[in-house]
Amino acid sequence: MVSPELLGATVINGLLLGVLYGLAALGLSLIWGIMKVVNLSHGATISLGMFLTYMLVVTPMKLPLWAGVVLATLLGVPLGILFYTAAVHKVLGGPELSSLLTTFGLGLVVRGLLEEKYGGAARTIYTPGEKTVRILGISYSYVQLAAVAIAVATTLAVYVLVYRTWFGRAVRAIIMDKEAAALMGVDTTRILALSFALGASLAMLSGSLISLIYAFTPLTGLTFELYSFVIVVLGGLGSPVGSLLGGVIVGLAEQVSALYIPVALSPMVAFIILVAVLALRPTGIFGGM
Amino acid sequence: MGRLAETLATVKNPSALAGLGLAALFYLVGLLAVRDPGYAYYRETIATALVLLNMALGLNIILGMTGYVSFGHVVFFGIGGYVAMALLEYRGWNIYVAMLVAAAAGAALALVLGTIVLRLRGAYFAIATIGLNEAIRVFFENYQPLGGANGIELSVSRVANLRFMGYQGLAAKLHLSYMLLATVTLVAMAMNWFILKSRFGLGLLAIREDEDAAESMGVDTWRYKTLAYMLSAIPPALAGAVFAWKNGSIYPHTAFSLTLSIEGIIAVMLGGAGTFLGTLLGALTYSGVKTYLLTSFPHLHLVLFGIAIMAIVEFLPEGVVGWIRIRYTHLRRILE
Repeated sequence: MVSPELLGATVINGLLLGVLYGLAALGLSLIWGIMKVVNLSHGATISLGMFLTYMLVVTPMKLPLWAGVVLATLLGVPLGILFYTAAVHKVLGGPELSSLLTTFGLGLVVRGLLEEKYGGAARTIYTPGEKTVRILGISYSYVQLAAVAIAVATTLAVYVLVYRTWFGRAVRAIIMDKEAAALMGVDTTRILALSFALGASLAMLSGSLISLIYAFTPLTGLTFELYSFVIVVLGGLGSPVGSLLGGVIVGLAEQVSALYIPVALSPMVAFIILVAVLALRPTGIFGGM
Repeated sequence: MGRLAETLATVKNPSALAGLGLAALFYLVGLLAVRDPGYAYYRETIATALVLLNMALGLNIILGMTGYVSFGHVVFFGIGGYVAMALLEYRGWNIYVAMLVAAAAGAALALVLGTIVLRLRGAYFAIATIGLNEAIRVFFENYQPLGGANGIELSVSRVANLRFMGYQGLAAKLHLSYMLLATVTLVAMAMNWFILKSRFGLGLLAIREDEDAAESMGVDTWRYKTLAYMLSAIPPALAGAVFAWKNGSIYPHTAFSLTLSIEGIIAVMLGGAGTFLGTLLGALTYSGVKTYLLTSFPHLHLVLFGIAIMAIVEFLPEGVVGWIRIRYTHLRRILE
C-alpha cells in the first residue's frame, strides 16, 4: 500500500516536473499550431539551451545563473530565425513529410555539433550550498522552485502575447487564412520567422532551466521532445495553457504510475496516453487555439 | 488467368530487369565471398545496404504508394528480430521457420497497430507511430523474459550443426545469413513491383493523391491501407530476423532505433516516392554515401548527414527518379 505522505510527495513532484515538461512542449506546440510544422529539431534545440547555459555559467564563462538563463533564451531568437531560413521557409505549405525531414536534418546538425564538442558523458551545473525548502519530507532547492515559477510565468506571458497583442493577432490571422492575412497587410514571412524564433527561444529557455536541475547529455532534449508530442496532443495545438496542463498531466502520470509499476516502465505510460488520445480525440483534450 | 499473365509480363520492363540484375549481383558477391575471403568486405558493405533497402521497400508501400508517413516503421524491424531470436535461442527453431514466424508477427502487429493509427492522417499518424515504437522499445528494455536491456544473444551451440556450402557452425551462419538477406530483398522487390502493377497498387496511389476522392470512387480505403500497412511490415520484419541472426545478438536500443526508419524514409524520398527503381537507387546511394561519410568524417558525419537531408528535401523534393519522370515524360514507361 502506498502511504498518503508518499502519495502527496509524489503528486508535488509530478506537478513540479510537469510544469517543466509543459514549458518544454510550449515551443513545439506554438510552431505546430501556427505553421503546421512538427518541428523535429525541437529536442536538439532544448539540448542546445542546456549546453549554452553550461558554456555561460560553468565553462568557459562564469556568469551568474540568471544571466546564463536570460542570455541562452535571447540567443534563441537569432538562432530560431536562422533555423527557420535553413529548414522551414522553403517547405512551408508543402507535404508534412518535407518539414518533418528538414527539421529532423536540422536537429541532426545541432546534435552532431554538440556531440562533437561534448561527447556523450552526462554533465551537471552544480550549485554549491544551495538553499532548500522541505515539502512533505522532500527537499526542493530554490533553483528548482524558481525554475517552476519562471515556467508558469512564461506560459502566461505567451498566452498574453498570443491573445492580447498585435503580434498575436497577426499570428492567429495567419492560422485562419494565410493569404487573407497577407492581403490585410500582415508581413507573413516575417511573422512566421518570428514565431519560429519564439518557439526556438522557448525551447532554449526550457533547456536552460532543466540544465540547472538535472544532469544532461546532447540526447536529453530528445526525451523532452518525445514527451512534448504527448503534451501537445493532450493540450491542443498552439494553446499555451493547454501545454501547461498537458505537461502537468504527463508529469503526474509518470510520477504516480511509478509508485505502482517499475520506474523504468513509466515512459510507456506517456506514450500510451499519446496513442490513446490520438485515437479517441485527435483534436486534444483542451481543444486548439 | 489473363490478368496474371499480363502482370507477370510486366517484368520485361527495364526497371524490373534492373532490379533482377541487382539481385543477381547481390547473390554473386555472396558466392564470391564463399570462395574467396577477400570479398568479405564487399559482402558486409552490401549486407548493411540490404537492411536499409528492405526498410525502404517496406516504407515504399505505405509511405511511397499510400502517402502515410510511418516514422516509427522500425518497430517492425525490431519485432521481426525479437520474434526470430526468441525462437532461435530459447526454442532452438531453425532460421527458416523463425523467419516465417517473424514475418507473420510483423504483419499481425501492423494489423493491430493499424486499427489504432490508420484513422489518423498526416503528421498525427507520423507522431503516433513514433509513440508506438517508443512504447514498445521501453517494453522490451524492461521485459526480463526476453533479456530486458541486455537483449538476446545467440549461443554458439545453436548453430554448431549448421552446414552451408562446405562450411559448418558460425562460418556457415555467416555465409547463409547473407544469402538469406539477399533472398529477403528479392522477395521485397517482387512485392513492390507486383503491388505497383496491380489494381491494388492503383488504389493505394489514389489514396495517396486524395483519400476522400478515392473513397468516393469506390476504393475501400480502410481495407486497402490496412493491407498496405501489413504488407509494408513484412520486408523490415524479415530483414530484422535475418540481421539479428547474422549478428548473433539483438538489443532493444538498436532494434528499435528511429534512425533506421528515418534513413528508410530518406532513401524513398531520394529515389522518388512510390517508384520501384527510385527506391532501389535511393537506398543503395544513401547507404554508399553514409558508409563514405562514416569512414571519412567519423566525427562530423551527423552534421553532414543533416545538411544532406535538408538539401535533398528542399532542392529535390520529387527525388531523382521522380524528377526525371517529370522532366522527361517519354522515359516514364522505362523508369517505374
